[in-house]
Amino acid sequence: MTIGRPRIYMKSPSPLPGFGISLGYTLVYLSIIVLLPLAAVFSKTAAMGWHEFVAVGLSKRAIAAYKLTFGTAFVAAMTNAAFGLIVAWVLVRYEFWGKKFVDALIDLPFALPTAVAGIALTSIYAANGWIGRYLEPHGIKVAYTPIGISIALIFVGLPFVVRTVEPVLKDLGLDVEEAAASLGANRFATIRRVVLPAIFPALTTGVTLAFARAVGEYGSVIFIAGNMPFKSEIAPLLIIVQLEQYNYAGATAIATVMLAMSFFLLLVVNMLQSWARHRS
Amino acid sequence: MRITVQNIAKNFSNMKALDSVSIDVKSGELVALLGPSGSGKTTLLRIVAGLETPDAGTVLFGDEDASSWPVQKRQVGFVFQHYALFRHMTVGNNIAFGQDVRPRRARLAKSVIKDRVRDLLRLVQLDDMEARYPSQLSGGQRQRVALARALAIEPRVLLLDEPFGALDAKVRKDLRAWLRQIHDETGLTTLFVTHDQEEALELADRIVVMNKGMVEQVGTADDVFDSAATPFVQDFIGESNKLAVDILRGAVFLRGQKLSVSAGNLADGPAILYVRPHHLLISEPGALAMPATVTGIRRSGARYRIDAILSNGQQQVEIECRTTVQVSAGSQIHLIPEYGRVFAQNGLGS
Repeated sequence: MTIGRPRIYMKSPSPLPGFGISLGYTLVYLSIIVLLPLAAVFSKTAAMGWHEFVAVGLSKRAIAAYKLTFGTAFVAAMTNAAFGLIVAWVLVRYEFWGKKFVDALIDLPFALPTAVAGIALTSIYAANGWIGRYLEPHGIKVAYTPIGISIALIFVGLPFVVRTVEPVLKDLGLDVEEAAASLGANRFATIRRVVLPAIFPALTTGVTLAFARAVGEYGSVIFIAGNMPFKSEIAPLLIIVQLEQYNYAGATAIATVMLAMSFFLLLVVNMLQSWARHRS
Repeated sequence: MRITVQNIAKNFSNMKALDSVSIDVKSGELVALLGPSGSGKTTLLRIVAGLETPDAGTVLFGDEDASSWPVQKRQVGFVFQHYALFRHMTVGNNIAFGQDVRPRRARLAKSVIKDRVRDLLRLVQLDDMEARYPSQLSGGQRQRVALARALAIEPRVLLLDEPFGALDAKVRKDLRAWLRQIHDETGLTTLFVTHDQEEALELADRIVVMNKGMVEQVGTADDVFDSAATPFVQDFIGESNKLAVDILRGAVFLRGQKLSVSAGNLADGPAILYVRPHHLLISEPGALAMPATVTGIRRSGARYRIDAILSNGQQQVEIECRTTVQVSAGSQIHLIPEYGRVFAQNGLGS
């Protein structure tokens, strides 16, 4: 991969004009759509005092909720990393009957209203549900526990991994794997040393998207979570609870903590990615 | 190492890719598999490499039956048309890959591998490119890296699948000469696939001409160019004028006019005469000369190419001659086929 410094030709006339107007558009658009609402969150939070902020934003209940939210999101993202990769692999490498159907299924979590997904998952994993009734006798409770939350998050995150890895895998080509084999590499070495490094950037992007989506997910989780404080209450729900009590400042305090954590994590992932790119 | 392919057959769904193909490549020989697309040449090469399994037949490496060996065990240097370099590795790491993936016991020491990579880079004339990435190289350089990578495993044979197919004409020509040189230096048995006859004629010790999953002819460049075994080979290699003629007691007749070529011992009846453009000589009128009318003249490099229509039977011919010839469109000329190949309609040749 060519890694050049990003060059910006601000002044020199280009045969492909439009830099000025497109940059201006990008900045205005991002400001209105992303930056302004975020600024509002921060300013609302800033209106409350530090003690108040800590009392709500860093309360024991809130911290339990953050742990749950980021923990289950992480578990879901990692699960999707492994199984989403396999799904993408199968879709790219093999031809089989009904492939188009499977392909369409992948996008369904994107399109389905999340509440519908939540209700469906709950009815399946509840103690008397299709799957839940077989797990219950073995002492495995899924619905109304963190496991259930993770399953809901895996559901909504799957398409992110599959759809980002798929094109890169398609582009990789069989001949690279054949070349590795002809040079003496066994299947395991080929996957580890040739295939995975090539798709690693796309995979991290997909996993990050899945993770980010999972952290913010609300609709599909609240039905299956059970929403018991300290046990199965996610941070987005806690925000809603605050809002229902007309405690807007409290809600934004929790939102601010989540924002800060998400931003920090995404920053780390981005740095990790660029480190991986430079190393390879 | 000597490579022997015996009665190889391969079908893809319901298409016959190879139909009982046998070839024999001597140790140290440079052999071209030449044919149009779909002739099965790449499939044959991939079967020798172990990248494809044949439905029937055997592949021998020396005296050993290698048919059931996996590709890893065959130790072949395979060069792909589109290079197939590992994009995320430097040139040096690409070349070292074959050594790096060996089990620890069989692996060379790091410093030895490093030296080997240096030597190979020198061999492929990319001395200072070790730290570059494939995307920073030109097409010709990438293919040279691919070759160095294949040579790094000390292969028993070198197999190249249309190695210069994706390169432009000038680079292709340079690399061709250079591949010959590398072959002579390393003495490796080399088998390469091409659809470019010029490449095959210029580079190979022997050429295997393939068509529709079968071998049409195996021979030197002279053999396949001057003594084509089948009408397909005659047609496919070089250019030929095709004239409908009749054979009568060993003589060749064009619409009743006797020609200067002989039909050997072909049976009487209709046949096709193949004459290369440079074998049609412009001559004085005579009993054996075919009268014709010039329809156009083109300059082609150092030569002229003349289009003409034969007066007997109105067949189109193309003549290649020196630029000293004085003709123009509409001129009447007389042509003598200096050399030609006659094939009866059942494919038998003179």
